[in-house]
Amino acid sequence: MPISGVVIKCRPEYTEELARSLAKPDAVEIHGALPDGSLVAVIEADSVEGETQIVTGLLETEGVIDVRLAYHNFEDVHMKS
Amino acid sequence: MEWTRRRFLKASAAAAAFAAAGAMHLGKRFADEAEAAEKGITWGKAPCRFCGVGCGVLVGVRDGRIVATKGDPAAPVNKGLNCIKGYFLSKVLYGRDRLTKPLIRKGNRFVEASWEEAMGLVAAKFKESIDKHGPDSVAIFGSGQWTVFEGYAAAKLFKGGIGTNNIEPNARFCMASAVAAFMNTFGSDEPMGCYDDLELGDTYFLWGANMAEAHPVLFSRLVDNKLKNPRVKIIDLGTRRTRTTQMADMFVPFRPQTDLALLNGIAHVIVRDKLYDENFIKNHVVFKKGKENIGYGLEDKFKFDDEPKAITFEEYREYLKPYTPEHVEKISGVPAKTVVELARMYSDRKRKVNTLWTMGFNQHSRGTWVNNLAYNLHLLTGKIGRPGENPLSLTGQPSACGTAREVGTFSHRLPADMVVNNPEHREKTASIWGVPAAKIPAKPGPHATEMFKALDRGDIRVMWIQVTNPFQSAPNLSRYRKAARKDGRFIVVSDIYPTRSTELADVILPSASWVEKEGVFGNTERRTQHWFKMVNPPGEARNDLTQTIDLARRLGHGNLFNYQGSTEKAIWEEYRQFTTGTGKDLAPYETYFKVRGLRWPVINGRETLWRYSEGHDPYVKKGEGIKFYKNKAAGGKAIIWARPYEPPAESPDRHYPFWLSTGRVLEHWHTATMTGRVPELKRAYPSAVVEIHPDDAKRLGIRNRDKVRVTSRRGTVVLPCELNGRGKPERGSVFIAFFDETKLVNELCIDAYCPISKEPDYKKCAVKVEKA
Amino acid sequence: MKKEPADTEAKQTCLSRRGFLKAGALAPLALFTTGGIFSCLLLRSSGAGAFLLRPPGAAEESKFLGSCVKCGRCAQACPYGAVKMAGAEAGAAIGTPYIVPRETPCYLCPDLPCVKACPSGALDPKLQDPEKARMGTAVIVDRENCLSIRGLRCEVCYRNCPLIDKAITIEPRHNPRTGEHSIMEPVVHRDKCTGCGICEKTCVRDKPVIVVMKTPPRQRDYYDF
Repeated sequence: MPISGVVIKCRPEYTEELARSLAKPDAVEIHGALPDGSLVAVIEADSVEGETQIVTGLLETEGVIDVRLAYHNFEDVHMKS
Repeated sequence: MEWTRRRFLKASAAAAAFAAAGAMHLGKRFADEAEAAEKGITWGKAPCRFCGVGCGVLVGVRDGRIVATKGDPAAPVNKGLNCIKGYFLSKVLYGRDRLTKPLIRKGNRFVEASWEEAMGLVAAKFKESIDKHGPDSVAIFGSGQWTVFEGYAAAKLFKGGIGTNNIEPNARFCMASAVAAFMNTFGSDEPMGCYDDLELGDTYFLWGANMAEAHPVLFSRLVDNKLKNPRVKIIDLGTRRTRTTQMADMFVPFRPQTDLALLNGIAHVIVRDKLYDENFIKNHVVFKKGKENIGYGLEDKFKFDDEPKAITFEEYREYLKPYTPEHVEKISGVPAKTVVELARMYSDRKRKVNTLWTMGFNQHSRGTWVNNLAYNLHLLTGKIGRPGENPLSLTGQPSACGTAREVGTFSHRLPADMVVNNPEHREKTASIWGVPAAKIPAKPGPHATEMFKALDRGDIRVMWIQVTNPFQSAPNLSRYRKAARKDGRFIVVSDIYPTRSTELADVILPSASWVEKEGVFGNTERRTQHWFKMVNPPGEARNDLTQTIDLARRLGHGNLFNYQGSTEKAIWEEYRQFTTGTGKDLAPYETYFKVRGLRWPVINGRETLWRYSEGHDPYVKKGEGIKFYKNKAAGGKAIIWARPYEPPAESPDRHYPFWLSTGRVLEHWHTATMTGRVPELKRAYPSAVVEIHPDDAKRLGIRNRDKVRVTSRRGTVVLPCELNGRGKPERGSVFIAFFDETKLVNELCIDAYCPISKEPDYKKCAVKVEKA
Repeated sequence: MKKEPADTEAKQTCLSRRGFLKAGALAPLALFTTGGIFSCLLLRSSGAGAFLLRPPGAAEESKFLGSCVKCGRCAQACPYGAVKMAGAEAGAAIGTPYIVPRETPCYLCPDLPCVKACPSGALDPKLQDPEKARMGTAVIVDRENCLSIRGLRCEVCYRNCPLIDKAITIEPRHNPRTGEHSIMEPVVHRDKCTGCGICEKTCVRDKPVIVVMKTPPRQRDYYDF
């Protein structure tokens, strides 16, 4: 189960709303907001592809400018050849 | 994965993301601050506070404080560039322990006092000593970092007011040999060439000079010449590999002191193979010989006066006969064929040859001789006084030239090349100063080393030290540090920070520095540069000029300084009179306000790039070509001096088997009282190390960075070693930089000096080295 | 609430897996194999890049993490106190030794006390010569702020480099702005740089412009130069 720590850069006026709407159990956990409007979140999924899909979805959400990966653990991921 | 580990990892993930976001946020704020900072700054020009290169800088002031400096793009010397010492000029005056109040010693402590109290005490001590023991019982030790005004006021007070020649600059420790050789070769101090020679020549012999670290921006110019012109050759001659060596085309190591032999060897080949310019010698050169076996000044009150004797070219040729390449190889270790090669390069008609040197030549127990021998090569080949072909003596301090040498703040000198033992010179000086001629003593005072010896003996009881740190920088340091604290001595130190000298003082006077006062400096290439006062000194700190005039008034010599209007301008216009018509002409004061300095002689507003040279120097008449017009006695000719090799004062032996040499690093300037207080420079090079050859280290069981004890007959120091650093000594030699106030390497140095120039030899003494 | 495509910057609407993993400002991922060897990626707060500078002799990161027992003896052995033990911010690397050059770099002790102290061989005892250590590679990451590259006389990193003229050399070139000075650019040579970080420590800028980063992978071609 790969786990990522990400910084979601948002338009400041959207921060509060996104903090509520982006959270999804066992997928996206919002851990806090920063003064410039960014959100710190933890993403988890069954696979890296699953993570990728979640992040894609975040990027397509109104008010989200960027998603930056700060930490990625995939110790139990098996690579397909 | 198990659930608790997952929780741990998620916490780590969040933490990392916060850290990442936090870093980004900080970056943004810094950028905003930078933008806001640019507004509201006023810029003014000044020469850099540090070395003799004399780069121009622009100083940015806001709210009464220096907030920024940058290289001055309009300054011809550096065109906006600096070295990192210059880069941090804005921080240099704002160390936390800046002196702001006068301090008077009470036992082992210093107590704050008012200026009235402090100066009252200083004046009383001066007066008491002068009354009881005569004017020669007091002295002032000044500096090549004095502004022209400060040096002039000190000289006028002591020589024209108190009536003693007991004034010496720290330039006695760095440039005296160069001065003595300029005087006895050309009849006038200071180079005939200028920095333009660095672009116009193609062959550069660097002797005993680590230009890469000691004259950084000039070295940058020299290297650029080499990059643009593949013909350019840089030959590095010395006793140690440095960063200069790294960029040179050829490195010629020689045994310490044998530069004398090597120079004679080169001259020998030039004369033997008739590579000299016969015409030039006939028209522009006379030959002389002086005393030999002249001692080392180790005894107190050592006296020496040279006895020049005219000789012929034939006699000079005979004199050089023993210095065959083979003989020189035996003495110096330089291969015979290299000696020949060097001679060929010096005399190659297709090469524009320059010789540059600094402390390897000057801080030398035969410093005057070795300077003479370097000039001999240029005089034999006629490569002198022409653009791109000159010997250029590089200067260490920002105003050793402009102040100490040009104003003549030496125990034997007066302004503009004049000397105290010449009655006409005393007359002229006295008339400009408005004092009786008899006031200025005819007998020179003690030179710096002798001055500190006199302090030790008690012949000098009161000494004022301004803008310098002799109790870290003098050779055989322990003797003089002890002297300062002897009974019946009174030491006054004017400085900006606590130093190894203020700690031995009886009175400490807080001083203004650099742009905290109006000033003029003169650099290596005769460029006189002016700056206006831009900020106030901190606390109660005062301009050294003000302090000196204050003492003058209290001693009853206020009449010497009754100037109308601006004291600085008045002093300049009075001092200028010494230079008019002498070939060292300085321009009216206002001339220097707008320009980035002017190289003297300045005639009708035009500066002189090449002295003694027709078409460049207005004092050389049409048709004269080259004329050393300051050598009137020699008919306008320069002197080739026959000088021998003589060994150093102290060589390695069984008990002290290593050579010790001392010097500088790029990051710090002299005793680092200023650069040591810039955190960035301190971090770049925090403390001194001893450089030692890896083979020697291995033999002694010493590994890189091990603590090592270095001991001479005079002192000892423990410090880490470096086997593969920026400087690589030869086998049997070690090197220690002298900037570190916690490692007083000068306690190991011997106070032997050149008997002619009286400059001590900081580059040669004997030490033993062992693992600590 | 999906965005209109016009709102977004020119991006693919579906990020590839590679794109996702490369999206952060991180050094490339360490290579991994099947079987549970893992990596932690980390932004070092000094801003230098996503890697921990390990003591001399440390194996490639994933192997190192597999053999470091987090005993702390290397940190104790270091006479300069350069080796620190990572805290929670290092994630899975918590308790492993690392060096922050800007605080205290590795001074390449001739007898490598850290390596000698390591009980598990995570610091390879076959390393005998500190000059052969390859902890990382110094990189000038901010040319616009490097004083030497701008033409001033600095080169502090070069003069302090323990492998002067090998790991860092000066390549002088003409300064076209002034026309008569030379730019003395410090150049790092990855095959000699130990990654000790003395350069990063001594850099005179507020934020060092030369920093130790993860050594790039080796690669070759057939050219003779």
